[in-house]
Amino acid sequence: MIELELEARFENFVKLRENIFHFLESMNVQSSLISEVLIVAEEIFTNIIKHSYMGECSKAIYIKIFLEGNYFVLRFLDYGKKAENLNIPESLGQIKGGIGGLGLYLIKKLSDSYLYYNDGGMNINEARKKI
Amino acid sequence: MKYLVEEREKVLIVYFTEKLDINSSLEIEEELTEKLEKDIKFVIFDFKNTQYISSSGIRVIVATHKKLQQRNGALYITNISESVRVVLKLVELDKILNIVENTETALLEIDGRK
Repeated sequence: MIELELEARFENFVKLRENIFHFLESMNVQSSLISEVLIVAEEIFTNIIKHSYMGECSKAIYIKIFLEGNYFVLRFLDYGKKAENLNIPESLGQIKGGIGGLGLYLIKKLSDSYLYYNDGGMNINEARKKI
Repeated sequence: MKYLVEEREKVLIVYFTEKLDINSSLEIEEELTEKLEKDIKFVIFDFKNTQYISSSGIRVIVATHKKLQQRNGALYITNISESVRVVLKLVELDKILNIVENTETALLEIDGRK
């Protein structure tokens, strides 16, 4: 298991990416699958920065990366704004304004399951990918 | 260096040299906006050295595509890897973009359109 606490800055994705990459590479996961997991991680990470903390870069994002059976689990916790009526696009046609919601669409398409919920002020984003 | 830019007879060629993620996309977007202020109608994005693209990179592609369309120009995508192709297909950009095998082929096509 890997546990990280990162400030909500885009440049910190580099650290997250390296950790995920080495974790999966050490398990001989094929590179195309690693790419898909990295995209899911990037989309969740940037969504938190943009929409939960809304650019407040001193806030922390807590990340747990672990295996559960055949699934690679990415769990992100933050204490920013609660996402109201999170609408995960099922198809490209549901993405409003052309490319808005594209990140969520990619998370949905590239992971085997994705859930978001708020628990007492804490936002939890969790994606699972079969490896 | 996240990318290299070359201008050949009013065609802008952008060679991405690594991942097209949130950080490189922000940087590239800024420079492209500046370059596209000029009278450029055709742009080639060469992905020869890129194995990774996220939604930030897709936004750069879509914004450039739209801008060039308004000028009756076009964006060409070349040398894409299988992993980049998978993402472009997921967002159905493979249906609207000019995806060609390599940059030389794109330059020939653009010559025919000038």
